[in-house]
Amino acid sequence: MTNAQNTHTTVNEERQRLFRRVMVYVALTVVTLIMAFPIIWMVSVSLKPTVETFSLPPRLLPNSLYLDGYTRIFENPQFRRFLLNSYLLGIVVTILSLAIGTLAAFGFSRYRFFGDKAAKLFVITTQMVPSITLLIPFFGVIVWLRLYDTIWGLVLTYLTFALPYAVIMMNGYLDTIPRDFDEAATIDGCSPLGVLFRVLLPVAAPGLISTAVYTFLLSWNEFLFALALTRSVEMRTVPVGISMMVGEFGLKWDEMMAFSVIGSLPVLVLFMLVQRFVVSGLSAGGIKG
Amino acid sequence: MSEEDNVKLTCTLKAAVAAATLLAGTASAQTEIEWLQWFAAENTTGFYEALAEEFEATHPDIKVKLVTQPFGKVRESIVTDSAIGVGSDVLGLNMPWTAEFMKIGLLEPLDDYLARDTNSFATEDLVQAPIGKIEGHTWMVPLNAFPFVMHVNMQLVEQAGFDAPPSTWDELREQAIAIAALGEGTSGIGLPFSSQPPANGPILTFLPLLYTNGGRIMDGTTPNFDNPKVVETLHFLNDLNKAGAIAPGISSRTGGVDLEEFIAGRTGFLISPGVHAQAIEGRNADLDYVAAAVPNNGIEAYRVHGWELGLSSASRNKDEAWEFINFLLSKDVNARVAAASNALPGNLEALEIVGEGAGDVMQAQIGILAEHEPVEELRQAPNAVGSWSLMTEEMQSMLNGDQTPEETAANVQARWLDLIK
Repeated sequence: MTNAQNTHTTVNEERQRLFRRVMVYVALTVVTLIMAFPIIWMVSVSLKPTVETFSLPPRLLPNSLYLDGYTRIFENPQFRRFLLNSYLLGIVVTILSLAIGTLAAFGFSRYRFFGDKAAKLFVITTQMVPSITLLIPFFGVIVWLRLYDTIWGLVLTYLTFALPYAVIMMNGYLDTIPRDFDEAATIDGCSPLGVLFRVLLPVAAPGLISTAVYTFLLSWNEFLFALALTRSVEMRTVPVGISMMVGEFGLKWDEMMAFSVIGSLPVLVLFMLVQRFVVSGLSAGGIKG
Repeated sequence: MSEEDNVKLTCTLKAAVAAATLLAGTASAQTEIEWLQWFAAENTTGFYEALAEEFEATHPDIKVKLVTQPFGKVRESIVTDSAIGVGSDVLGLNMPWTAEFMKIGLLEPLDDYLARDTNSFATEDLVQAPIGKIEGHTWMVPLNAFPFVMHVNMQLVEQAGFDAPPSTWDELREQAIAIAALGEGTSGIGLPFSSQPPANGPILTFLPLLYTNGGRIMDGTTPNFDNPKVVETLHFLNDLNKAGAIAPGISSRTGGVDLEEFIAGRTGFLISPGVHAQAIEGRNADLDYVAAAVPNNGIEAYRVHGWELGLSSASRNKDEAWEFINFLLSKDVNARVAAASNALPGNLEALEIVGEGAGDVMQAQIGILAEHEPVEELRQAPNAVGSWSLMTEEMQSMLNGDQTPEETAANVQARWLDLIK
């Protein structure tokens, strides 16, 4: 093969590589646009008067800057209350899930005891029950516990959904950490809890973060139980608040989308900040379960 | 412990017991009643909360707790809350729920309460449809009323070559076809026949037209969908569709979308409660818009709709709850309730106050209320809400060309009877 042929082949390969790369980016752009379109449209509708939203042909950008939807949301103390409730609920459920779930996962990961496999299987099995089927039993239990229409009723309910996941995730993550760490720390005088808090948890930070993000998202986005287990406006959360904008005589589209944007922002920001940990945490937690 | 300390301790304990007794006494003197409704979520921010406070100021022994649910969840909430024993005392109601709630014993008969001398209103002054007796009793009272009207985009009507809204079916057909022919995405009229629950499309458009045709879907308390008037009304809608006068997307169109497209100036006509005027005028002040009676085919009638109030049969505070209803139906308060929703009052004594300085749309509604025949038959319809879904499905099939109006009527009748077995 001559030098000219070699050069020609190299140029061809380079072009093919470039073509493939361009195609990958085109495909990624198309997929990203499809995935992002509902969010883009949500932002667009939040910045337009409803009459523009329904005008033909549809327009992505508003004719002029319109922030009435946002203004009405921020001026209404009810919506501020919904946000506060959702934050409170998300933070409490996340902290409790991590605290209890990590201790349980530590037990499953580092100790063998009678019925440990059955217990772990039970924890996994709870994730397979569709939550809608639990609504009526939960309703009864929460009323019986006198926690109906309280944030603590929701905390308890969400914990039952978030805890199994936290246990499974953290157990999987802790299993990937060699026991040599535990032994070295024990020789240095660490108690079992010292091993967990001083040695294992710092290493398991990505797992903790991904579990925290998941549990926060679970309580932040949950609608059905929040609607069923609360009744006063003071106890409502963001998703229920959004649903209350669907009235008998029409929808407040601009307000609803403005509140949806406001409700989505914390989740988006949180996910962007810890995305790296979430991906690594999920993949590591998924190796062993 | 010295004697002095003993005396101090005894005095402190006595003071604490006295304070606790006093507090307990105060707490038990005030009765809390709950009012489950969706009204406070309907464009009336703070209004109902202020109303409750106003009531509490004149009734210091009663506290009103507002429980506001999204409209789509209220019916389920009333049933589930009652089943679990946390039901409210005063219930916001919709007439089509009546038969279902009566069947499960949720509602308290109101006859004795309505007969009280202390009431702030006379029963004969109330809008009559909701208080008509079923099984010998009255089950609800009207907070306000929304006659169904036809909202008209006059700009499109005039562009299509007409100078007045249609008043008959023939005129409606002619104008709707002409408006659709204008192009640029305009349609004559929308039919919101989405199957999305509560799938109330047929009751929004079909029933008002049926009533102006002199038809009914009930014979007493029995479904009677398969009759010539119903078939004639179905033919009218089917013909409009074939002529291209109906807005596209019938099967996915909800009442909300129908309203918004009218507000955006895309449809010539919208048949819906008069209360929609508030949204129309508020969101598009530039729309050249009037409200008129639903075009008729010989009968001047309107479908009555409104917000009703009832007492829960499980309430432990029925007298206090009725006191609150009594307050809401008093002339002055009821006028304010109606004005807040741009509706007509449930207590017609308040009509004069509502009419003072009211705009053209409200005046049109008052005129319809005074001159046309009110019709409401869903209140006693068995499984009314369930029947809307099957009406929707069968009418979708008809408008898709899969069956004739005669087959549609027969299918709805058969399925409805099957549903209530």
